[in-house]
Amino acid sequence: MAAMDEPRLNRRTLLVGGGLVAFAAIAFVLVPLALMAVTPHYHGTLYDEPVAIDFSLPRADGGTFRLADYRGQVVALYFGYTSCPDVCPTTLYDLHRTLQALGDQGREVVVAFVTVDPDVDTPDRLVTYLAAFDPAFIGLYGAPDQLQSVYDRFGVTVISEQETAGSYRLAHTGSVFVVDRAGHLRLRLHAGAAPQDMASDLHFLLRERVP
Amino acid sequence: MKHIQKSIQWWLLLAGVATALAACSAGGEGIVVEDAWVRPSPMQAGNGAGYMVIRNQTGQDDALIAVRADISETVELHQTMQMEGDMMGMQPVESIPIPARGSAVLEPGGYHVMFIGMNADIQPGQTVTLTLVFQNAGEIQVQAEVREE
Repeated sequence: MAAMDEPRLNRRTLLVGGGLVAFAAIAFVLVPLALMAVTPHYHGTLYDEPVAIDFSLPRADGGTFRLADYRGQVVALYFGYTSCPDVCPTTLYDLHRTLQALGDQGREVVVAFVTVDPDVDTPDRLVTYLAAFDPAFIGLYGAPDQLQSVYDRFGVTVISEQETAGSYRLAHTGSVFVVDRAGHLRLRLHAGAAPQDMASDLHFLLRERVP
Repeated sequence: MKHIQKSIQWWLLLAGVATALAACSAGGEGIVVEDAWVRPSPMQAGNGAGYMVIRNQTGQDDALIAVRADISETVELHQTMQMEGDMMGMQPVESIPIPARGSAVLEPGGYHVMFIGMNADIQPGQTVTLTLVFQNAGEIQVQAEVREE
């Protein structure tokens, strides 16, 4: 009798064991993998509580830029100056490449460059400067106090380090600030972020639809 | 006896090949500059930047102490630094160290040559001459490609 029972027992053990293995595989491998595929993983830093943000500044190419007018699109804001030789051109080229990497989706991203050097960056200078990177980039300027209130809203710091007469340097926040389709400040892309990482982050925000 | 001679010949040949390989991998002596390029400014008399990789194949520490070029009013050595809270700052440096058997990388967001008040006629596609001045190696002229990125 015992000899006949043994194979049956083994089969049951095998079935139960196999079931457990399959359960473990689904619970600990497949489910997390599926969740990872749906849950966006951002390279930049998300704001804990996205806040509605708005401001108006004169556009270098004429007219007024009102952030609220771009509701439904994703807006990337960068603060820099046209005499900046290293960080600003690098970020602007990287943003241009980011939009290229996004393909058709890239057209739903508005890039605006806010000057941190209003004494030097005239509207004409801004237009010439930005056209070298991407003709769609929008240059924003304004009176110093008008600009300061925009810097404050985004937490942008500008420190002037005057050198000799012809040479000066400005230290400034190097992040790219991203406003989502709903007009909320959502994401901060860090200085030096790779275009493919920025494209991946923007792609998640572009996937969202405004209710 | 003949057998021993042949064996010695083989060892000599092997030693020769090994020496030649070692020499190849070291790539010779001195300072070698690779991939030198200049990013012009979109502005008239604007500020541009120069980048390159400098390999020091000597056994002695060296440093880049100056760059001369006729493409701008002034040439300085600068370093971009990330400070607290994503603040990006830039400061002039006296020299850029290149350790013995090591290298220095001048790249966007790091060390760079700053061209202040660049000539407007420097356009992408051109090649410009830079004279690099090293503490020990003296002056080395390199051709740098003008390109945007």
